[in-house]
Amino acid sequence: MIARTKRFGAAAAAASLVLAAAACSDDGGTGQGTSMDEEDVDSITIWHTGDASQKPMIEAVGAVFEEETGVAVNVEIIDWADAHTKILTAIQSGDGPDLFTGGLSWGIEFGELGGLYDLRQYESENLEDNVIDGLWQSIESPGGELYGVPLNMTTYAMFYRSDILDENGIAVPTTWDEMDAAITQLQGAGYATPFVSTWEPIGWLDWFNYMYEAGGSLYSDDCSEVTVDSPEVVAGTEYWAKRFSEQNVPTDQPDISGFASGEYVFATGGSWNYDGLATGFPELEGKWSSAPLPAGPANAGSFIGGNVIGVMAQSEAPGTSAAFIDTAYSDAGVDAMLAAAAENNVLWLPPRTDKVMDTHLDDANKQALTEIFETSVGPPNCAGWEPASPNVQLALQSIVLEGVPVEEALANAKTEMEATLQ
Amino acid sequence: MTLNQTARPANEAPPEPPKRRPGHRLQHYGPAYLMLLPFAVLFAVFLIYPLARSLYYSLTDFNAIKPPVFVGLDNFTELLANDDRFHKAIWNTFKYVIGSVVLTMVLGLLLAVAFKSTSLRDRLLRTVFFLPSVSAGVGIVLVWKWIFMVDSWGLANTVVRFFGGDNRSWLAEPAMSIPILVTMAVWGGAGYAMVLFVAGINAIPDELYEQASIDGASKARQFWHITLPLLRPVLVFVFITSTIGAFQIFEPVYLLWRRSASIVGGPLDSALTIVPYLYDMGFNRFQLGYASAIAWILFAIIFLVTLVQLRVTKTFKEFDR
Repeated sequence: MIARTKRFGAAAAAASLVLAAAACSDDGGTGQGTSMDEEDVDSITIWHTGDASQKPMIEAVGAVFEEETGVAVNVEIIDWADAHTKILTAIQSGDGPDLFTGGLSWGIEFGELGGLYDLRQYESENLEDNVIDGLWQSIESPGGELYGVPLNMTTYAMFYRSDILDENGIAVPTTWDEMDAAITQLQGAGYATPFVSTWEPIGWLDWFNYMYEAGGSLYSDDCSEVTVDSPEVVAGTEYWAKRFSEQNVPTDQPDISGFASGEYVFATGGSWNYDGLATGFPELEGKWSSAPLPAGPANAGSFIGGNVIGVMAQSEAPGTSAAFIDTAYSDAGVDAMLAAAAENNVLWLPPRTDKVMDTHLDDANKQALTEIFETSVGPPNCAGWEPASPNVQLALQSIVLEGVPVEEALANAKTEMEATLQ
Repeated sequence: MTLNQTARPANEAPPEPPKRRPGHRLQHYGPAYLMLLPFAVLFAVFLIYPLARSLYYSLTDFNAIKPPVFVGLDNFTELLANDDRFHKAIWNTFKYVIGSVVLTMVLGLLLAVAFKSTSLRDRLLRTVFFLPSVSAGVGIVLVWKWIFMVDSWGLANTVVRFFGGDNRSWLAEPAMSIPILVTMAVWGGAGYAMVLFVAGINAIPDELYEQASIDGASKARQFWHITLPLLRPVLVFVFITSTIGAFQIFEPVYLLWRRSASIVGGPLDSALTIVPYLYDMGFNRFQLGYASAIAWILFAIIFLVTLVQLRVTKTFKEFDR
C-alpha cells in the first residue's frame, strides 16, 4: 500500500512540476498603443529581477514618475533563480504585473511568445538615442519589434591587483599577447593561478568575449546563416581553450575572495564584482583596479548583459507603463537611480553610457567602465539562439574537458544552431 | 449449532437476500460518503485532474502561451528515439539511483548494527547520524557546494593540498558529478535508513540470537541467517522508498550546477538527471508538452522498477516458504 501510494505520489510530483505552469492557457496579445491619458490608473506594478539591494533604485525612478504623473509605482523583487518561471507563469495566466525586468534576452523571448507589448507603439522621448549601440542586436527582434530595453547593465571587466603588478613590473595588459606574457611572468614569480574567470569560465558567456575579440560572430548580420565555424571563431576558441590547458585557469568559477587574498592576480568577471570588492574587502582599497578585457586580433570587446524592462501583455495600463520606461531613461530618472545607488553603496550601471561617469566608483574604474561600454556587445537576437545555446555550450565544454578538436566541436555547435535557426 | 442444521439440500434454491427499501443504501452509507466528499473533491481537483491534463499535454506541442497543438505520440518518439540529452539524463539517473540506494542501505545497515542498543552512547550517535535527514535541504546542498569550491579555502581542496595535491575544479569535472551526488545522498540518507533498520533489528526476538549462540553460531552467521532474513520487510521498504526518491533527484543538481537561466546539468551534462531535464524543457524552454511527456516516462520507469522490486520480493517470500 505504501509502495502504491509512493508510486502514485512519484508521478504526481513529477507531473506537478510541469502542471504548475500549464493549468490553463491564454493567448498573449499586443496592445493598440493607448496613451497614458486614456488610461485612468492610480498605480502600476513592476517585478524587478534581482536582489533587495536594487529596490531603492527602482523606487527612486518610481518617485520621479509619480511626481511627474501622479501614478504610484509598486516595486516587487523576484529572485533570478525563479524569475524566468514566475514571469512565464504570469504571462500564461494573464495575472501579473504591468512591467517586468529580467535577462537581456528575455524581451525578445517573451515578446515572441505574445507576452509583451511592442514599445515602438508608444511615444518615447528618451529611448532611441540612448540605448548602447552594442545592445540593439540583442533587444530588437528580427521583425523589428522592441519588446524591452535595458534598465541596468552588467558587463565583463578585467579586475587586476595593481599592487602585485607593480611589484613585478608588469603593465596592465591590453592585448592577448601582453596578457600571455604577464601570465608567464607571474607564474615564474610563483603565482600558480594568476588568471581566473569568475563568470562561467567554461560557459558560452566567457567564450563569447574571445570569439568576438577574434573577429567572429555567431550568425551573419541578417541571421540567415550560422557563422560559428569561421576562421575567426576558430582562432578565438583556440585562444579561449588555451587558458585552461596551458595557463592553469580553473574550469570552475572561483570566488572573488581568492583575488582579494592575492592568490589570483587577474580576474575577469561581472561588473557586480566592483561592489563585491569595495564592500567585501575594504582593506584592498588602492590595491586593485579594473580595465577592459585585453583586445584580440580584431576587436576589443566584452559581453554585455543586464536587466531588460518591458510591458506585460496583460497590463491594463500599457501606455502608462511605457511612459515609466521613458522616465527611467530621462536625465531625472537616471540621476535619481544613481543617487539612490550611491546612498546605498550599490553599483548601478545605467543604460546610458553618458551617465557612467556619474556613478560612485573611483575615477579609474569609471574610466574603465566607460571604455568597456564603448566596445561591449550583447548576445545575438537571432531566433533560435536561446534554445541552441545549451548545446553550443556542451560543444565548447567538450573542447576543454574532453580534448575534442576545436574545428570538430564548432562543427557540432553549428549543426545544433542550424537546427534551431528559424 | 450443528452441521446438520445448516446443511441445505442440493436442489433447494438459496434464500433470497432480505429486501431493502429503496434509498436504504444511500441512507446507510450516505454520511460516510458525505464525510469522504471533501477529500474526494480535493483528490480529484489536485491529483486526478492535473494528471489527466498532464497526459493530454504530453500529446501536444504546448508552449504555455499559445493553445496546445495535438501531435500524438511525437513527443514520446522524439524523447525515446532521438533526444541524446534525455538518454544521457536517463543513464545518469540510473547510475545515481544504483549508487545512492545501494550505498545508503549498506551504510545504514552497518550503522544500525553498530549503534542498535539503548545505551546513551548509541542513542547519541544515532541522533548525530540522523541529523542530516532533518536538516534543511537547500542549506545542506550549499554547504556541499562550499566543500567542493575550486578555491583554496574549499574544504575538499584543503584536504587535497594537505596530502600534497593541487586544487581541483571538483564541480567542473564531469567524472566527479555523479560521485558527488551519491556522496551527498548517502550522507543525507544513511541516518534515516539506520533508524528504520534499528527499529527492525530491535523487533527481532532475542531468543533467536540466544539459541544461535548456544548452537555455536558466530556473530557473522547470526547476522546473515537471523538478522537479514527477519529484517527483509524493512529492507524492502527502505529499498523502494529510497529508489523512488532517488529517481526524482532535483535540488542538488539545480543548486550545485545551475549557472545561468537555460543551462542545467553541469559540465557536459554529467549531472543531468531526468527531473532537472524536465524542468529545463518545461520552464527554461517553454516546451510544456515535451516536459509532460518526460514526466510520464519518469512515471513509467518508477512504476516498472517498483513492480520488479515487488515481484522479486514476492519471489523471495515464496522461496522462504
